This record gives sequence, C-alpha cells and structure tokens, in this order.
Amino acid sequence: MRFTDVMSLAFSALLQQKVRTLLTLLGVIIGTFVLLLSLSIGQGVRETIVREFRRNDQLRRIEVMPDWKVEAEDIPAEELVINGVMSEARRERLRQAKINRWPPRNKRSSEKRLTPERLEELAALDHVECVIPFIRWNGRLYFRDKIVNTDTMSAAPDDRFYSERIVAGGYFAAGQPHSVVVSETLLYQLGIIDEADAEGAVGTELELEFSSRLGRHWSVASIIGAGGKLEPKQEDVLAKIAQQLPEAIEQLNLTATEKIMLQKLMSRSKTPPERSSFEIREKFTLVGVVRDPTEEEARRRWDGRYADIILPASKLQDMFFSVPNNREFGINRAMIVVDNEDNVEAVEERVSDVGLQTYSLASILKHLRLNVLLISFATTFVAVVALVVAGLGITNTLLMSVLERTHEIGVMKAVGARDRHIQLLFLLEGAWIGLLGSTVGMICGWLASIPGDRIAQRLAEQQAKILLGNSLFVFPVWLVIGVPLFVTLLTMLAAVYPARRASRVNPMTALRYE
Amino acid sequence: MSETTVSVRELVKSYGNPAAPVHALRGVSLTVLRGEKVALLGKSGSGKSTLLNLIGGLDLPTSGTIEVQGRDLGRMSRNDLAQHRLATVGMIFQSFNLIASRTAMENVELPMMFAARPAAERRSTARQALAAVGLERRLDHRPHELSGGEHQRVAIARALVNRPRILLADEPTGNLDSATAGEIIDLLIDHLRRLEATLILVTHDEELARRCADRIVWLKDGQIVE
Repeated sequence: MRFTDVMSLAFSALLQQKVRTLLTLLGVIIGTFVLLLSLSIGQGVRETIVREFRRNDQLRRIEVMPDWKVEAEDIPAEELVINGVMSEARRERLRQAKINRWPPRNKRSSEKRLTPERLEELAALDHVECVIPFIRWNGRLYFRDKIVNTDTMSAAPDDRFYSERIVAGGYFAAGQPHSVVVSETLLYQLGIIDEADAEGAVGTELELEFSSRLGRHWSVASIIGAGGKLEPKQEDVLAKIAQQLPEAIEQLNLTATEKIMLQKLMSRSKTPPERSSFEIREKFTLVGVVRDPTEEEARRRWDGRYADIILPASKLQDMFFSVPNNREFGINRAMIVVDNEDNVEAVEERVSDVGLQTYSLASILKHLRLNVLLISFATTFVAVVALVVAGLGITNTLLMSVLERTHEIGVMKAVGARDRHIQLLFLLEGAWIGLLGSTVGMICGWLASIPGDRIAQRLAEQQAKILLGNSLFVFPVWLVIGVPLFVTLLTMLAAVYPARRASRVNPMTALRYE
Repeated sequence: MSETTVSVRELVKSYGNPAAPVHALRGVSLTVLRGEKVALLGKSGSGKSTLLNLIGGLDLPTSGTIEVQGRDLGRMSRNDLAQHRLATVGMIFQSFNLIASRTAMENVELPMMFAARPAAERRSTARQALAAVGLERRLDHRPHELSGGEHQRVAIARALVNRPRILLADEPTGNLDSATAGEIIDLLIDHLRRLEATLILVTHDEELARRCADRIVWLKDGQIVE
C-alpha cells in the first residue's frame, strides 16, 4: 500500500467525525500554543540578555579587584592574643571577630594587591588581550588663569563609554599620552560658556597637578567643621595649618600628657614623610569635550560616570605609580580584556587563583541564563503536560474510533489489508491530528506573540527603563521545525496503542460487528 | 479443468469453550478443480459459511488442512493470509460489507489500494469495473444512496477488481428480491466466464445452485452428506 494512500485514508477517516476531531485538535492546539510561546520567549529572553551584555564587548571583560579579605597571617600575632579565662570556642570566636574587623589597608601581605608588577603578570596570562587599570585620582587643573580641583579618570583609547559621547573635538587614540578629554561641565566651570567656544578650546593646553599636599587639608577641615566643596585657595590654607600642626603643639592649651598623646597620634603614620610626599605637574593638550551620560548610558558603568578629566590609562598609570606609596598599595580596580568570550571563564579562574577578586558579566550572564532556562523549563514542562493530556485525549478518541470502525477494519482485512496497513492507518490519524493541531497552534502562537511582544516591550520600558529594540519572541528554524515534529511524534505515540489494537482485530469477528 | 485449486482435508472447526466446544465443521474433505463452479448447499448452521470463510483465509481451522493453489492456509502467516485474500480470492457477502462512509468508487478502489496500484490506474480500473456491473452513473454514490441490488453489484466489482482466481460468494442474493437476484447471478456468471475463475457459492437456494454450479455439495451438521 502506498504511503500517500494511507495518508489520504487516515485524513478522510478524521473528516468522518468532524466535531470529535475538532475537539481533539483543540487540545493539541492549546498544548502547541503554550509550548511554542514558552520556548519562543525563553529563547528570546536569553538572546536579549546576551545581546545587552555583549554591548561594548562587555562579555570579554573581567573586572579585577584586590582581595581585601584579611587572613590571620596578615595580622601581627600579638594582636590576635585573647586574654582571660574562657572556653576555647569563645576564644576562637573573639579571635575571628578581631580578624574580621582588622582594617584591610593594614594587611601585612601584599600578595593580593593590584601593583604594577601584578598588572604585568595579569597581562601576560594566556588569552589576555590587555589590562586596563582603573585609576581615579583627585588632582588640580590649571587652565589659563583658572584653578579647579578635579576628578581624573583613566580610560582606554577604545573606550566607547566616553568616545560615543564626544561633543567637541575627538577622543584620544593610542599613542597620545599627553591628550586629555574634559567634560563639558568642567569646561563651563572654567568659563567656556558658549557652545562655539567649546570647539575653540580644543587644542589648547592645560596643566594637571597631583600632589600629596592636596589631600592634607581634610583633617583640619574636619576639625573645624568646614564641610562641603572647598575652593583650591581655601584648601591650601587648611593644608598649611595641617603642615604646621606638629610644631604648633607646644602652643596649644594642653597638659603635658595630652601633648604627648597628640604627638603619638600624629606619628602613627607608618609611611616616612619622604615616601608620602610627592608632587606631579604635567601639561596636556585638550583633544575633546565629552557630555555627561544619559540615565540609560550611565547604567553601563558604575564608576567614573561623571569624571571631569579623562586621561589615557597608560599615562595616568605611569603618573600614579611614580608615587612610592601608590606602587606599594596598588590600584583598586583593573579591567582585563580577554581575546574571546569562550576564554573568559578560564582566565577568570586563573586570576582568582592568584588571590584577586574578580567580577565578570560572563559569570553573571551564566547564572542569569541558567535562571531563564529553569523558568523556561518550568513553562515548557507545563506545556508538555498539556500535550500529554491532549495525547491521552487522542488515545481515547482513536480507541473509540477503533470500536466504531471495527466492521470497516474487518472489511479492509477481508479485501486484503495487512495488519501493518491498519496499524499505519491509525498511526497516521494520530500524526494528522498532531500535524494539523501543531500547525494551527503555531500560527495562533505567532499571532499572539505580536501583541504579547508589545506588552513585554512596554513593561520593560516602564519598569526597567530599557528600550529593547528587538522582539522578545523569537522563532528560530529549530523551533519552527522542532515543535510540530515533537507534537506530531507525541500524537503518533498516543496512537500506538489504538493502532496496535486495530491491527489485531480478527476479520471474521469484525465482519459480524455492527 | 483437471488442476486442483482448492483441497480441503479432514477439516474441523470448533468454537467456544474447549471443554464444551461447538463443532461447526466435523472432518470435511473437498476438492475443487480450477474453473469449477461448486455450490455448497445446506440449512442454516450446517457449516457452509464457515467452510467458505476458512477457504477465504478469514478464519483458521481447528484441525485438518486447506490447500489453495498448493499452499496450506493453516501454515500461513497473518501477512500471507492477507495476501491470499488480496490476490487469490475475491469474496462476496450476503450483507454486502461495503464501507458506509466511502463512495462506490472508493469501495471498489480499496483492494487495489492495498495492492499498491497507482491512483490513476486504480480509478480507471474501478470505473471500468463499476461500468461492467451497470453502475457507471453511481460512481460517487455512497452505500446509503444505493439499492440492495446496487450494493451487491458494487461488492461484485470490488471482489473481481484484483482479478482473483477464486470467487467465494456467501449467499450473494440472500438479501435481494428474486428479480434482482436473477440479475446478480447472471452478472456473476458472465464475469466468471470472462475471468475463467473458480466459484464456490454458498446458498440454501437449490434452484440457484443448480442454475450456476457445475457441482453441488450438501452439508449437514458440519459434514458433507452428498
């Protein structure tokens, strides 16, 4: 018997019972609808997450930080002695509490710091394209006759976070260490008010100063309660007071004991003055002006969003590490750029092995994707259960059909039908139900995805302030082929038992059956 | 005419509980030659339909052998029996046994479908077969739109469409009035002559048997009596 003939016989048999077939189909349609939408949105959400994460090569980057966690060996042994009569458990608790509270900066070990040597070591790791130090340094800017305190940030020459926001001039390229980009806010502060003047300022020279003197005013400002933003000249006055304070102790109205106590406090700084004192002044050419990021853009960077001065990372790194104290303690953050997304996990593992803390969107993405996958799995499971229920409906329908058509089966066998012809006939009835039901279910699902996507987009915009720009429902080829195939196989499976039963019908008995 | 086409030996068919079986056939032996027309005559319950169904491969004997064209039906697989029903024998039933949901054409096409004949050839052959039984204007009619005589004409067309060597007719005129019965028998004999097929006819109508059979075999209580 030809396959097309069995197909046509099976189809016409379904048409004999239109209402019953329609009701059976309805179950398959609903199951397919739910399955399709569940897989479609699951895949769509996963793709959207990856797309969002991939912006600006974020998935190839690993953020590295010094491990500030203090271990027992970082603390002098005498500091960890717990006196008194107590249980060992309590002694250990108190000892651990002391470790937990030990200031990280007072750690003995320098193994886990982001020193220049460590940065070079990281850059030499396999699959590491480059290491960009994140340095944020407070300095002072001299521009024409103006002096302002500024927040200076390091940035890579290809950092699109800044380069995409240039409003005048351009962004510095690699090999331009003496270039600087400033914010339009800073420029405004410097007296360049008109928009046209900003363009004119490009190419002019400015001077930056980083000095130990600049932070000295804080302690005196704190004593006298001079909070808020200070003018450079005000800071200089306070710094002078701080500098003269050790010599002025004698002039203060204090007892001898109090004076000794104060002197001890002032000598607590472990760094010798010759190491902690520095002054760096360098001239730079203003190459570009950058605007502040929008709310959406700012979400991409948690640090240095509103920096006033942006310097090439390598230049600021050289300046920063020229200070002995900075060389010893290192920097707080660096970014490793890996050659390929697939190698991020391996590189991250190597960096963690060194004892540094890491953070990468790739690892976050992994967890996020797992969560979405689990949610998709749950909804898919529900859809499959719905389809299994529909499958049971098909089994029931076909069993009834076998009973009703027993005489017909007998006639077919009497005129030469083999068992496998009858079996195939019922299996294909199941397949037709699956094929028709899944096709209609797929069309309904696709149609429902249009308003569904609009709602999802609106929700994303309202609640997360994110403009997705692409559909959350995706229909890849594997889905469009796989779902009907799976549903058809499932409905064929549901038809196996009725088909076997039909094929075993005794023709003699069947011919007598009415 | 000398070639044996059906050979039945010591055929027994019992139904029901083995402890208290009902014997439909009790050691029947019969030989039918090629092209012969044999009528099985007897009262209801004599076992004639049972014998016909066994020769048709619709049922299996309890004991004894049935050889059709040299092949023992008792040793055949289910597939071989289906092939036997498809190609070797054609069956006509008293109750016509047409598929109610299919047209006359589709009913006649059915055996050809199981023989995997191409659709176009099938349709053309079915049309010719129905025209040969005078139903060229009833091709697309379903059984409920046909008369009793037309039902049996469709059944004859269906039985002969695969050109079987043996035609098994079980009370083919049992449900028809005498005039229609006469027409059907004439039709049947005409077709048999053309196909040079063997006929085994089950009937309780002795006149009909004498009219169309070369030989009459009487059955009584599951045994051949003459």
